[in-house]
Amino acid sequence: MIEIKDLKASIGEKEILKGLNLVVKPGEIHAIMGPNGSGKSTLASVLAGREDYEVTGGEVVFNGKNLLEMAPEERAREGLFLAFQYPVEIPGVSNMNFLKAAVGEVRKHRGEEALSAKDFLALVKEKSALVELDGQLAHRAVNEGFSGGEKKRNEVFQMAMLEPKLAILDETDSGLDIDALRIVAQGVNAMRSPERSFIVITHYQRLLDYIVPDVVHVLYKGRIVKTGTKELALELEEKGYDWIKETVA
Amino acid sequence: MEILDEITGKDYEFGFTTNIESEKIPAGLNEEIIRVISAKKNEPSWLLDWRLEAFKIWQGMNEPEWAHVHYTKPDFQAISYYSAPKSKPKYNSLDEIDPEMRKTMDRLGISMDEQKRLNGIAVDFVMDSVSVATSFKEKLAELGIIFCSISEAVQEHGDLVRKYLGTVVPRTDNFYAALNSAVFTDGSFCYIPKGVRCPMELSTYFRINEAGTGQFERTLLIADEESYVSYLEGCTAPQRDENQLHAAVVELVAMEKAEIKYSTVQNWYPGDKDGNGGVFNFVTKRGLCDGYKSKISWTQVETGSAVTWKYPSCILKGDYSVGEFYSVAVTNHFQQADTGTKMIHIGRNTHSTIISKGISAGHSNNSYRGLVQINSSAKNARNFSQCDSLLMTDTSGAHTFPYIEVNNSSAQVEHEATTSKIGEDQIFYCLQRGLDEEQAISMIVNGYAKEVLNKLPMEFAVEAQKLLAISLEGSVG
Amino acid sequence: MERVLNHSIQKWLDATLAFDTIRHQNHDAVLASMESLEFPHSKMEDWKYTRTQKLNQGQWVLQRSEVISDPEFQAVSSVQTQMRSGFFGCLNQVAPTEAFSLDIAPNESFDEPFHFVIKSNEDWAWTQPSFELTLGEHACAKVVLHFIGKHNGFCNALLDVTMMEGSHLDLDIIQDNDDSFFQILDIRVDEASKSHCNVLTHTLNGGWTRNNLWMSLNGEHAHAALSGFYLPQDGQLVDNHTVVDHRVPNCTSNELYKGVLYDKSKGVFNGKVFVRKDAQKTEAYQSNKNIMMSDDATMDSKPELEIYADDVRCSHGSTTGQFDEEALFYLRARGLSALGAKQLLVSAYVNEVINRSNNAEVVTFVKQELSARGRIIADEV
Repeated sequence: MIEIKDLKASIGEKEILKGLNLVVKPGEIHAIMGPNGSGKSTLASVLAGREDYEVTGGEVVFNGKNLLEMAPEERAREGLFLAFQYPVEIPGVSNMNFLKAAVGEVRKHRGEEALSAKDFLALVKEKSALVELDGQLAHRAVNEGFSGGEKKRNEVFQMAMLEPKLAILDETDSGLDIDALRIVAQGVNAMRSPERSFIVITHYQRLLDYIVPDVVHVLYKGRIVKTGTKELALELEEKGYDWIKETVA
Repeated sequence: MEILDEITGKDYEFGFTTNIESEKIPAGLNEEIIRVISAKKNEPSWLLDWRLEAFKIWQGMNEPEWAHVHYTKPDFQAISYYSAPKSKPKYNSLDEIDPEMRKTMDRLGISMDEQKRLNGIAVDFVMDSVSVATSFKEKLAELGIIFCSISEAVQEHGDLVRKYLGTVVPRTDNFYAALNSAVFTDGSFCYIPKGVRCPMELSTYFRINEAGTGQFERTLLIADEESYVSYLEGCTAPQRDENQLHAAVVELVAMEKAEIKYSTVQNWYPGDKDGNGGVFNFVTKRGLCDGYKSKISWTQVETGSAVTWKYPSCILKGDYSVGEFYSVAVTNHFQQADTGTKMIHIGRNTHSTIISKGISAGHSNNSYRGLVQINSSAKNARNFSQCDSLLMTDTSGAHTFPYIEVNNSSAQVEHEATTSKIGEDQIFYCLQRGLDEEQAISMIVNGYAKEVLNKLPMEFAVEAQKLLAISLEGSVG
Repeated sequence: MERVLNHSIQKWLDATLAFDTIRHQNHDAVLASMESLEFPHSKMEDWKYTRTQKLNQGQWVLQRSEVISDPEFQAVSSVQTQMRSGFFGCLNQVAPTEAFSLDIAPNESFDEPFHFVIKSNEDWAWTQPSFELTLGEHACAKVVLHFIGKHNGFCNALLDVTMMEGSHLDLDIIQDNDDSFFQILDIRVDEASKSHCNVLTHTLNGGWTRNNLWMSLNGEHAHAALSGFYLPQDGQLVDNHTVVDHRVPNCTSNELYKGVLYDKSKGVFNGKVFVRKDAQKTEAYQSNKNIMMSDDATMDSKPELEIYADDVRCSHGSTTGQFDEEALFYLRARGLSALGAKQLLVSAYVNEVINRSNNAEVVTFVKQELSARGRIIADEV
């Protein structure tokens, strides 16, 4: 699905990713954990193509294609989805118009026919139920006036609408109460399939009780320093990150 | 709030004249007068030629009328363009100066005494047309800092003066700048060498004393690469029935990574509560951020003058240069102020900030006028402007005239302005807690202006706060 | 009668001589007032940012416009519009090419809009349509002035609106002119107490467009809403000059002008809010927002407040910049192209203004027109 080799990236003068390696196969869920400032969100942003970051080395192959050469929208159309840590509010742009445009582009790219208005609405209804998103929200402006939980549910709803091959969840659990967390996880789990992979970026083990990963990585100072099974997450929860820092040092 | 109607404005505290014999040339303006001024100051011929050229330019100009102010135009032939205290013109130290003048300084509360000296403020004192004394000169000289009157600079650092004079404010710039260039008699000069951080605040006090004179001082301040200076300027004038004219020019040059902080507390005589007398303050102040990452910051507290026409500006030429303008302008009685700034963005990534707080009381009119110009070369330029007005009476006016000119797509310019009345609920809240109305107003106004007052050096901030309170006494109708 | 006129305007007046079928009732006074005028140039504060040279050089031939109205209106032959101080306003009054007068009787209320389409069809055609609208007490109406200027023409239009107590007007101006067309539109609205006027200027296209809108609040509790959008491209110019004059207490005004500037276009906004001495409890809000889509575009914005009363709440704001990078990235990360993302944002940006119209037909029409031309994405669903 995705193969990241020796990825190096910086923002301004500061190097944040310092040679990161990661391979995710179809159907797998990988969790990436790590202390604050280790480069977790940078990884998500670089993969999605945020221009603030400069890739200074390495390569990323996504379904056989060079991901780093693609514009952000090409990555999205190829099936890479980023659930943002801080979804931006876009006043005046209605969620529906926005989704219609996005779904239209993605389907066109896949060579699928455009959805009729009726089918589109039916799809919206079906997918929004998945994350228990109020139908009203769909008619408001993108993320505007949404609570933290609503924003994250909206991200998962969009994911369900766009049916990506690889979804990256960037700290989707941050700022969520336990009910919202359960709903978000439920939405993600409903989308699990042998063809779809997930990279779940999180600071806490809590989310992994709901979205059970196949592999857990620890990111520290821009590199993956430890890889294990879901038990590794529990160990981190128990011992904290200092243990890793010491091991690495 | 009727009780306040009974309180009349507090008298101008600095409205005394100093009884010093002075030498004053006859009123009038012509080439001959300019030659006399130049000769009295023993100036080199290049400067005389420069003045005469300015005079020619001035003759071809009209007095500007676009400002939102109304006044009887000064009779430029009725003014005496040179007035100097007759006593020994130059002192080696402040201790030697004429006791009368010393008294003047004391009454002004000028930082002259030992105690203040400990605070470390170097002062140049300009009375009427000439600079009287400069303190701390030697100490500054050790660092290579030149701080003296501009007349002295012409004599001793002629090359520097010649190189920069009129480069930021050309003689052709405007009517008053041309006039000043022709007849300026003194002012301050300052040069901070490369890499030097001036260890003390530099300060100039200006005072118009003699009747029937105008004051036309000229200030030139150059901060060489990676230097820093904080400069303070204060002004007072005696109480007189006729209007006095003040038409100064201030030029600042900041080179690569240099920073100039220029603070003014302007307290020229504003006229009496019926609008008689007061100073016409027609001033051109401009700074050139010439070098990469240079910075010029203007902070002004304007409480005086009958009519103010003043726009301290920044030309942001160097890439990443920064311009700031922080202003509090208070008008009371029949005062009129038309003040603001110009931020001219030329270099890339240049940033400017404008914070203007106007307070209008009595029958006064207070206008903010500003220009933010983003040239096509100024990629990623940023400006933020906030211009607020506070109205104390229903007979005063508050006006905002911003000009925003954007010529490229990467610029971001934001302007906000609000106008509101001083909050009666706020005043009531203070009264209920036992403050009297004057205290309440003073407190609220100081809070309103805090963003700007905070930018002033400590000694000045205290003075400015007091000044605000005094200017607004009896102002709520 | 001999008149001494500035030579810069003489040729304009000479060109009107052939036209005298419609007279302004103060024709002579208008002519007299022009003695102190000259042709607008950039040294005048009101014309600081707008070049008039090309307009002045045109070989204009004064002629009638084609006016189609629904319901049908007969043109009138006498004009009583209020005298103007500016050159072009006076010029219109010296020789209107057609005049319409619409009187809504007190308490009459119309749901269907009055729709005027004013067309100019020929090269060098110069037209000067004149409109007078009067709403009686508690009358209610929707009016649309729809300008279509073809080819290299010049339309110098003028409109007076007089609103009596408690009346309500929705006025939509649609400007859809060719790239080489010049238009000046001078509107003056006088509002009596408790009246409510909502003026929206939709500048769809045009080579050179100057709008003067003066709204005077003469009676207490009157409300003025004024808004407009402009999307100039290539070398087009759109200049909106507005004045809201709060003359009495307890009135409110709300102003929003938004622009998106492409290519080498130029936008000018000059909005003035006056609050007169006795106009206490005024609430005035003014906003001008601009998005720069090109390095060659220019925006000059001058939002002004002139306030002589103390118990007021007035604010204005002006922003000029780009779309939020974060929003653009978010949209692209969901598969929209860079262009598509911008278009979606432009649509949302402009719709905020269009949606302020209370005339549903106009809203639909304008959105359809703009989306058909690829300027915005129509909102469906």
